[in-house]
Amino acid sequence: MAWSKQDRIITHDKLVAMLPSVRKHLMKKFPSIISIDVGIKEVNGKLKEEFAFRIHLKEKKALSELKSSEIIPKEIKGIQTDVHKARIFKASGNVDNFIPDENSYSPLWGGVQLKFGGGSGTLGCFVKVKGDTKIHLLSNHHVIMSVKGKAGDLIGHPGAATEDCCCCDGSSIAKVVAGKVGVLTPPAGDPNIVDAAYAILQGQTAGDAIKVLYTNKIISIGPIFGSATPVPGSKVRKRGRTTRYTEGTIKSCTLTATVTYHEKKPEEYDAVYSNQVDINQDAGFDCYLAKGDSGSVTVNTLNQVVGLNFAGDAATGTGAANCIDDVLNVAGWNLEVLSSGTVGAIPISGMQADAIPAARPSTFVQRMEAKLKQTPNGQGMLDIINQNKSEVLDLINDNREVKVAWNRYQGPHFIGHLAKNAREKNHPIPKELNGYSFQNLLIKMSDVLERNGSYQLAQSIEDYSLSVFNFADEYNGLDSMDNLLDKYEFCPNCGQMNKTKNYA
Amino acid sequence: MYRLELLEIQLIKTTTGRRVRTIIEEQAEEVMMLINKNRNVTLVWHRNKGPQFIAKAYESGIKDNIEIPPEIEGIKLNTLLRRIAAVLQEHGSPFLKKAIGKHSLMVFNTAKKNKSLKAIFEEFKTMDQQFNLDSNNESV
Repeated sequence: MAWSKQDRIITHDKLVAMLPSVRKHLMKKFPSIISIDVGIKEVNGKLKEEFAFRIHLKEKKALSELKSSEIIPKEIKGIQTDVHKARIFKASGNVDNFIPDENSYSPLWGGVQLKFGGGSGTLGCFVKVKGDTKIHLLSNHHVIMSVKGKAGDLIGHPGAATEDCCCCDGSSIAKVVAGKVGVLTPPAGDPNIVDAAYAILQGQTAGDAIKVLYTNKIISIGPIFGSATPVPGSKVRKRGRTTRYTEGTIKSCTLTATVTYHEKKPEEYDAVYSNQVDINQDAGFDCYLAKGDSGSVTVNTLNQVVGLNFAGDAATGTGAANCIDDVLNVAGWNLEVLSSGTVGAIPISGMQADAIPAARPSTFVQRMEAKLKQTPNGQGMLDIINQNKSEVLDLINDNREVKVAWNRYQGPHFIGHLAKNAREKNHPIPKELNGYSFQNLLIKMSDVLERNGSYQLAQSIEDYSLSVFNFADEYNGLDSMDNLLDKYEFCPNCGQMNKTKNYA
Repeated sequence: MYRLELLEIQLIKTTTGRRVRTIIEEQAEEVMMLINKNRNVTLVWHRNKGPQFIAKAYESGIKDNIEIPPEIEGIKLNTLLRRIAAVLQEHGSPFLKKAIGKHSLMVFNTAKKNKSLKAIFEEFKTMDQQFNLDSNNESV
């Protein structure tokens, strides 16, 4: 978004100052309004470069179905309105489409799995109490404490915690210090604003049986440089154990979010949170958050933590996060997010503020995905790709052996030529670059990914690598895909791809 | 060596087989040296049951009704081929790397399709007929 950050902050603060009077006026006049906040205006699902008062209704009707007295005005005090159907966020739900990252990491990173009781979530980032040196992990209350949790409880990674002793498997990594979560009826003066908890890493207190190592980085994102206030319109990203790496844009920092914690007992466990960060997933991502990503943090382009993710809306794929400033200072916690250095002093992977470079040439990938979706064979291939692509990208970005292999065997250059060929049909796809053929690259990547990836990825490589080698050998631009997809039959039962036709 | 010579006799009966022998001859010395002397290659070869698969392959080329097993102790034949190709191209000469890039797909596909060396030799005969290759001359 070319709209400058400074302009957005100034306009946003001005509108937030107007919000109480706008709420008072409109919610009295229109009882169907559930909540109002200040956010980025959306038109046909696309974010525009202007703010609006976002009106959330229980049900959004067509204008023709409304009486004139029921029509929300298009402008309030010179600011446009933007009417939405209110979402019900969930801190739980189905995750059929994703393979969670249940791997064990040592040292610990942000973005890895945590386990408490029967549920799983994500380790957000590392924090400490101001003035103290002990390191703590930050996550959601409903991830590391849940209903029956209390201070002193053990948190496990990646599996459930075991009792501390010198001969146990050591999956316990931290002890809960404190937590706070929204309630159905918050007391006056104590509105629901955070669902957060923090736990002290094992090994820092006398008597701890094990010493837990950590690194102040988040998988796929890199080193973290403290925290910052979220700003609407900012590009952000997160890494969770379910959907792994996703990118998004902050739509609002004043969202009122109704969150369901227990679908069968909403009357006991629903909570309405105010001043939440509302995040839209960017193009190319099915959703920003899903179950299991709770506890992950949202970071801006400077790798500063701006929010603690805690709930998502499956229908829209959007996510809700607590503002990090509220998390760090709630209930007198006085926390600060660890920083790996001086923000802005060294560019992070060449990123400019508020502009995240594409993880891959988007036109080529989007067009290839569109081609694959057109046929059952292609859809089968796409399903396999989607199961593994996040992990493959994580490994290419974060695993040294994989990264070195990818670069040495000319991976980025081959991808660049494929992308250029997708845009310019006459651009040739080279068979060899700097002494490495495309088959050399695929063979090498299948080996390093198999050795460094999860069991799921290794299994996929074993099952499908030959099909990929054959497909790549015959690929000659996006237009050739129609013939290729017709040629390779995808067996839905065993998942194998078999060449069914020979073309001259 | 007696077994190898028997296999070679079968191989050179077809034009396709002779072409394959040429490729093998160009790379065999370096591949054998790497398997025997390069620790990384040796490890991959042995861990992925290379000697066991080779032994079965020899038998399948000489005796009737002997098949190369698709899997030995949890390692699939194609997995061995893929991993050995990866380590050979990593540690071999640029010439070997280029040959692997050029021919490995043919090797993988042939191994997947045929259950024995005898079947592979039969396939070479079929390919000769398909592409009108005379067994004594390169082409008709």
